[in-house]
Amino acid sequence: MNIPYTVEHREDTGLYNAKLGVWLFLASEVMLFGALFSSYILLRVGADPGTWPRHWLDYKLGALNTIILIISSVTNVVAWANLKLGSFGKYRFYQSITIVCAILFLGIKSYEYYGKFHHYTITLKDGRIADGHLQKEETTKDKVVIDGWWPASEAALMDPPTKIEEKKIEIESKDIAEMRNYGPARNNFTGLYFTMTGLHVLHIIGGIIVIFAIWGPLNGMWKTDPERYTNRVEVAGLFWSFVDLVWLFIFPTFYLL
Amino acid sequence: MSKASEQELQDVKKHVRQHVIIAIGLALGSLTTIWTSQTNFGSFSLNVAATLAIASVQAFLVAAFFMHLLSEKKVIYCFLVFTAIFFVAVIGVTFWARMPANVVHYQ
Repeated sequence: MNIPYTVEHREDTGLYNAKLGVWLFLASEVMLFGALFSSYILLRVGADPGTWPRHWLDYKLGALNTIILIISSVTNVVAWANLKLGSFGKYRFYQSITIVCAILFLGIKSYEYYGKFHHYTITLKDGRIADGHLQKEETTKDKVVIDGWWPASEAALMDPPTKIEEKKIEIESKDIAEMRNYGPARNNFTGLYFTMTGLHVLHIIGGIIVIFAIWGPLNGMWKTDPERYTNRVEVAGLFWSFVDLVWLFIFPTFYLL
Repeated sequence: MSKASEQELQDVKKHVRQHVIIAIGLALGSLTTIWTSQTNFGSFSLNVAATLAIASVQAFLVAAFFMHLLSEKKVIYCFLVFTAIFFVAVIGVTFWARMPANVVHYQ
């Protein structure tokens, strides 16, 4: 059975079906991320003064990931343009850069997540607070070792100084009242950060799978039906650019403001 | 697929050049957002407005050029207009719910 309108345009829409479908899908994606951004605004505007964290994320890593995604968007469009010209080799070259960029993005994001899950605030029984990254090798059942600092209060953690002189802190386990990491359960900020960037990461992974499948295992279609193959690349590219677009809002809202 | 004509080749080269320029613009935009977020404009609201305005321009560039929205068919514009209406409604309802008239405090 032939699937209609994979290449030729429908008279009523003026588009091939996959393109119409992907734009409808992207419209639903706007609503999905829109609802999350709306939640972010609600929680942030409603937070009491001084209780919303600032500078908890490394903006340099966020900026690096932004540049990587921008490069991947360009190589993706250039790959498609070369396919339009019939240059399959150049398409493969540029699209491989897209895939490498996407993997780099995930690598940096994983590093950030790892840092957050190993970053702890330790409340001692005498009321003092220590904050820093857990040194797993040196931590034992009897003592916890972190590279960190001693904030004056919980409030000081909400907007920590940009340059902290970290030092090795050893705390005996019996003196610890509570240990909390910077994971999703810590507060609304980290909850939203992990939800939204996690959802974005899932989109990146989905994008890599689709782009790689078209680039590699499914590229036989280029020989049998090149126009349909080119359309597949275009549709995957639209999704990829959308993923880039969403990140352009995630970066300033979470890393900068 | 037939071999590309000289004209098509030139068009694509122009297309690629345009995308590279836009990518540089996007990268510069990101650096500018960092600057606006760290500069003291006298009010934090101004920092938020400036940073989000730049992000919106960047998003427009991606949608307009990388997603070819500027040269897209009318039906897609229709979808996007409806999406924008619902998107604004979602944000609007959020703010409406926060208005003092809708919050009653019992002491």
